[in-house]
Amino acid sequence: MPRYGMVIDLSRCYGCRACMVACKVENNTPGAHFWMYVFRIEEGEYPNTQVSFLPRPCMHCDNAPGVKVCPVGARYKREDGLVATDWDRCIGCRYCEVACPYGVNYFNWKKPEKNQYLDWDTPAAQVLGRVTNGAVPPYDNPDLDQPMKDKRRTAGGGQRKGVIEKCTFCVQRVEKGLQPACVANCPAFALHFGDLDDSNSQVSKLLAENPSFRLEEEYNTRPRVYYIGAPPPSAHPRQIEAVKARE
Amino acid sequence: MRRALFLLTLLTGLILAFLGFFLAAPVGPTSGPQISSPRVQFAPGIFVIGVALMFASAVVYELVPNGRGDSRSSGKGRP
Amino acid sequence: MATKSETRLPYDLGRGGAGFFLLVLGLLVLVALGVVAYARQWAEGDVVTGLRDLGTMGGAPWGLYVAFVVHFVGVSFVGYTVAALIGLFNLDHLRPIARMALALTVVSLALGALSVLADLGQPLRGIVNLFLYARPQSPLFGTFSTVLVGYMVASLVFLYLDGRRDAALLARAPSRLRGFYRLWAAGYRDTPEEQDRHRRTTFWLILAVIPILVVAISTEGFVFGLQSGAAGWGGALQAPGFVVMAGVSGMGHLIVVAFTARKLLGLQDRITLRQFSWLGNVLLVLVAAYLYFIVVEVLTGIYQAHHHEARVTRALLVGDYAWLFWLTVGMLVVSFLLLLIQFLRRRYSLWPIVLSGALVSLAGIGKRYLIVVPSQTHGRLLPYLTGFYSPTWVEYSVVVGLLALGALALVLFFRVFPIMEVATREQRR
Repeated sequence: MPRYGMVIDLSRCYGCRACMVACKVENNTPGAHFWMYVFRIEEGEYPNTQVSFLPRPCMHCDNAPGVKVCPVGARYKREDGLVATDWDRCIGCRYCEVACPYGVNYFNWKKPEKNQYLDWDTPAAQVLGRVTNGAVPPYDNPDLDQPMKDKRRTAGGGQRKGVIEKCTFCVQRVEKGLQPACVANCPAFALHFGDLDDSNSQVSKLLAENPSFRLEEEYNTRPRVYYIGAPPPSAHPRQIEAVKARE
Repeated sequence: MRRALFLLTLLTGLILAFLGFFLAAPVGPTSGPQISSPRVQFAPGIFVIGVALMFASAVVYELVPNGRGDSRSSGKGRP
Repeated sequence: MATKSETRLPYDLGRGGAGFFLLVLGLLVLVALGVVAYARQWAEGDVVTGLRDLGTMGGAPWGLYVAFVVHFVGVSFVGYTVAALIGLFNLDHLRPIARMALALTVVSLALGALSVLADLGQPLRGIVNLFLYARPQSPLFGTFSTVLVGYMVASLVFLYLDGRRDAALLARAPSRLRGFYRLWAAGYRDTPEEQDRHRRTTFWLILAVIPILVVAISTEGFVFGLQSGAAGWGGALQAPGFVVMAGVSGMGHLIVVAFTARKLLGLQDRITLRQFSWLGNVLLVLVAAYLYFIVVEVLTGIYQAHHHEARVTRALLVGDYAWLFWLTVGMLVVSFLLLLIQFLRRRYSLWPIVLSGALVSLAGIGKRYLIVVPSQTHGRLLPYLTGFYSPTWVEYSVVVGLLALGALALVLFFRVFPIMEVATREQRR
C-alpha cells in the first residue's frame, strides 16, 4: 500500500494560483470554495519587507483532527493515507471544519444554482464537447460520485447541500495513476506528489535532499504535506491579496 | 417478582450500554479506515438503549406490583 | 369533597381564561416565526444564516445555534441539582420548586436537541446516522448519548415517578383530566410501603445521575477543549468552566421561572422569600466561582499565551467582542454584588434576587457566544484574514421560536399537572 504525500517547493512557487484554478475545474467546487489555496504573504516592517507564497492543500494528516472529532466517522483515513469524506454519511455538523488548524474544509451552504464552469445546455458546451471528444470540465464528474473502496464515498465535488467537502488529493485521478490536478497543472513544477514509502519516488528524493518543514507540526497532526526550498513563515505573516469571496 | 424484573432491566441496560460502547469504539489501531466506523453497525444505538434501560429500571422498580416474597425484603437497603 | 359537578383543581389546573389563551397565542406566534425561518433554512440551505466557512471565507461555521446548544444543555443542569439538594441534604423547604426545576430540565434538554438539529446541514440524516455510526472517540458523542438521551430519560423518569403521588391524589376528584391522572398514577395508593420505595428510588437515581451529569456537561466543554483547530479553546479549564456556568445559568433560569409561576398562578404563599433566598445563595457561590474562572482564563490568555491565543484574548478585551465581553462580565458582577450584599446583611428581598437571576441568564448566553465564536474568527493559526460573524434574522427567529416553544411547553404542562407537590391543605379539599 502506497503512502501518498505531497512536497511543495516554495523556492519555485511564484504565487500564480494556477493550482487553485485547476482544482476548481477538476473538482467543480462552488465559487467561494478553495480546496487548494495559495497564500500571498508579506513579512517584516517597511522598508524591509518580503513577499512569499504558501500553497495550502489539505494536509491529509496522519493524526487528522477532523478524523478524530467526526461524530459519525464520515471523515476517515484511507489505507493509502488520504483523508476522505464520505458525504453520504456526513451529517453536516461542521465539527471537522472547526477542529482543523489549517482551515481546509468547506461546507456546502446551498444547493448548486448552476453548473459552475460550463453549462451543459449551452451551445458553447456542446461545441466544446465535440471538439475535445467529450473532455470538457464536467458539472458532475462521474468519478466523483462513485462509491469506491470499502463501499465508502471518497471524492467530493458533488456540491451536495449541507455536507462538508475538502481537498481529496484528486483521489479520482490518483486511483487512475494520474497526478492531482494542482500538481499536473503547476507551471513552475513547485508541487510534487507521490509515494513517501518508495525511496525512488520524486517526493522521497526531494525530502532526502532538502531540509523540509510541515505546517503547525507542534499540534501533532503529522501532516503529509512537506514544504522545501524556504524556511517556515515567521510568527507574524500578513496575508495580502486575499480571496474574499463568501458565497 | 418486582425485584427480579427490576434487576433484569437494570442488568440488561448495563450490559447493553457496556456492549454498545465497546462495539462502537474499535480497540487497537489509531489510524486507518477502521477507526471511523463502529465494529458493529447500530452499536451506538445499543449503547443509548442500554443507558435508557438503566434509568427506566427505576420505573420498573416502582410500578411493578409486589409479588410473593417481595414484601419481606422491601424494607432493606433503605438509605 | 367532590361536589356533584367537577371539582376545582389546585394551581389553576385544567382551566383556561383570557389571559392564559392570550399567552398561549402569543407564544404560538413566536413559534410560528421560528418555523417559518427554519423552513427557509431547510429549503435554501444554511446560506440564509450568517454562518460561513473558516479560513478563506473568514466566517464562523458555528454560531448562534451552537451557542444555544451549549446554553440549553447548561440550563438543564438545574433539575437534578435541586433534587439532590432536597434528596441528599434534606432541604425540604425547596420542595415547592423541585418539579419546576425538573420540568425546566426536560424542556431545555429538548430545546438543546432541537438546536443541534437546527445547526446540522443534514438534520434527518443526523438522527439516523448518530444511532448507526456515532463514535465514542468523538467529543460530540457525550452530547448525543449521555446528555440528550441518557440525561433526558433520567429526568423524565424522575419527573414521572415524582408526580405519581400527586396524580393519585388528583385522580380522586372528578375532573376532565381524571383519566390522565389515573394513567400517570398507575395504581399508586400512597401506602407507607410505596412512599418508602419511592424515597429509595429517588436516592439512588440522584446518586447515579449527579456524576453522569458532571461528565455530560464536561463533554460539552470537551467539544471545544479537546481540539487544536483554533486558538483560545484548548485548556483544562474548559470542562469545569462549563459545569460551573451550567449551574449559574440553570439557577438563573429557575429563579426567573419560579418568579413567573408565582406571579401567574398566585403562589405567593407557597413560593416564598425563603426559597428565593436559598436559590440566591447557591447562585452567589456559583457566580463567584465563575468570575474566578474568568479572571484565571483572561490572565492565562494574556501572560502565558502563544501569539494566536493572545490575539483572541485581545479581541475579547479590547477588540471586536469587547462590548459583549464587558457586558457579560458586567452582568455577572452586578448579580454577584446584589447577592453578596443581601447575604452579608442577612436581609433578603425578592427583586434583587430575580434581577440577578435574569442577569446571569443573559450573561450565560453572552458567555457561550464568546466561547463559541471569537476563536473561529480571530483564532486562526494560518495567516488568514480576521473573520467576522453576525447572525441573520433566520438564526434569531429560530432561537426565539425555540425559546417560545420551551415557554409554551412549560405553560401547557403546568396547566394539566401541578407545578409543585399538592400540599396537605389542597389534599384535604
